[in-house]
Amino acid sequence: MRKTVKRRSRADDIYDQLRAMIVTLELRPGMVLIEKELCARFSVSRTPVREAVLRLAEHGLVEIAPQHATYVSGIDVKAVRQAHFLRSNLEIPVLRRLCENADVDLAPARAVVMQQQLMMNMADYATFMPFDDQFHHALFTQAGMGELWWVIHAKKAHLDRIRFLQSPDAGRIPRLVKEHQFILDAIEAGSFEAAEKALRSHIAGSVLYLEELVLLESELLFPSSKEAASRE
Amino acid sequence: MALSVSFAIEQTPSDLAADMRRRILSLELAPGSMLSRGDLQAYYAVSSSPIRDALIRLQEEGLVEIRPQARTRVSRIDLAQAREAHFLRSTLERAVVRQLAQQPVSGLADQLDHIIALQKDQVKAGDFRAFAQLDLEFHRALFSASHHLGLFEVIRRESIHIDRLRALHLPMGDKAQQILSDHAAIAAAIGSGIADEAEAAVAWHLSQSIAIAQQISQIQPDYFKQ
Repeated sequence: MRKTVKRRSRADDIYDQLRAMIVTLELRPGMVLIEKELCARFSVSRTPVREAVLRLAEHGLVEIAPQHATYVSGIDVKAVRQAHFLRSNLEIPVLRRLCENADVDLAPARAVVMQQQLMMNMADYATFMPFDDQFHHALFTQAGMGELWWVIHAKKAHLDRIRFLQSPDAGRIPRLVKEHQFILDAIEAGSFEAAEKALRSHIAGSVLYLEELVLLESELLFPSSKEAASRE
Repeated sequence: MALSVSFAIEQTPSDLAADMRRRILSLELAPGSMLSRGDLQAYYAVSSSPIRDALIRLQEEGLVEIRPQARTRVSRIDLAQAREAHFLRSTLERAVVRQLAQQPVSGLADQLDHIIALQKDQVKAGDFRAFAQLDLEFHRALFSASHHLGLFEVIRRESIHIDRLRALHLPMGDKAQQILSDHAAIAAAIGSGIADEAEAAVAWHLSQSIAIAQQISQIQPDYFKQ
C-alpha cells in the first residue's frame, strides 16, 4: 500500500509518470527502457530511476532481463483477469459498507464528479483517467479503506491498458460520468442492489473487450499475451 | 593450520530483503529501532547498492521507513493498515472458497486433509515455525486450486503488519488447536458444496488475528504506530 500522508519522493513521481506512459501505450509493450535516457528525461540521478523501475517490475509492468536490459511488458491476459477479480471483489463490499452507513459523507466523491462534468466534453481518456480513479478512491476512503485503493491501482494498470487498445468513442467519458452519478445516488438511497449492479457493469467493459480480443486472436494482443491466453 | 577460505556467496537484494524481513518479523530488529546502512553492509559483507535495493523493497512492504536526510528505521506496526489488509484478505478469500464450493476441484479435499494432518503432527512436535509454514500452505492451496495464486501473493505482501501481530502473540498453545479446527471446518464446508457455509467458515477463521490486535497494542504500545 502506499502512504498518502508520506512525503512523495522523486521516485514516486517517476513511477507515476512511467506507469501512466505504459498504461496509455505511449510506451508500448516490448519497448526498451534505458536508464541513462530516463535520467535525462526526468533530470534526476540513477537512484530514483532505479527505485521507480524496480517498483514497475514488481507490479509486472516492466521486465528486467538478466543483462539489465529493461523493457515494457506485454499485455498479460491473466494479469488483466486477475486485476478485474481483485477490483470487483473489493469494490462491491466497499459499496455495501457505504450503503449500510447512514452517516456516509459523499461530498468528496460528488466534488470529483462535478470536476468530471466540467471536463467531460473536452478531455481524452488519458486526461480523464486520473479523475476517474479519484472517484473510486474517494469511495474507498469513505469506507475507511483508502489505502487499499493503491493495491488495486498497482494491479489495475494491466486492465487500464486495454482501454487504450479500444478505438476512441466520443460518448464514453460522458457515459462514465453518468454512471458515477448513478452509483452515488444509489448509495445515498441506501440501495445496495442498485449500486452493485451499476458498478458491475461500469467496470466490466475492459475485461469483456479483452475476452473478445482473445476469442478473435486479435493482432492487438501481443504474441506473449496470446500464448498465455491459449495456455489457459 | 588455519586456512581461511572466503566463499563468494552471491547475495542478491531479494536474499538480503528476505533475511531482514525474517529478522524484523522475529523482533530481532524491533519496531521503531534504527537501521544503520554501514552496520548492515558489515553484517552481510556486501556493498551499499544491494543494501539500498533491499531497503527499498522493505520500504515498499511497509517494514522500514526511509526518510530523506534522516536515518532509516524499522517501522512500527500499523493497526490501521492491518485492518485494511484484513478486509482485503477476507474479501478475496471468501470469494475464493465460494468458487471452490460451487465448482469442485478434484484432489483439493485430499490435499487439504493432508496439510491438516501434517499440522497436527507439528502441534505434537511443538514446532510452531513448521506449523506456521503449513498454515500458509493451507491458504495457498485454496488460492492455487481456484487459479488465483497471484492474488495470494498480493495478500501476502499486504499482510505484513498482520504477520507481525501474529509473531507478537506466539507461542500459541490453544491457538494451534483453534486453527486446526477452523481449517477442518473450512475443508468440510468446501466439500459440502455449500458456498455460504464455506464463506462463513473462512470469515470466522480470518477474524481471529485482527480481534486480538487491540489487546496486544495496549500491552506493547511502543511497537505500534500512534
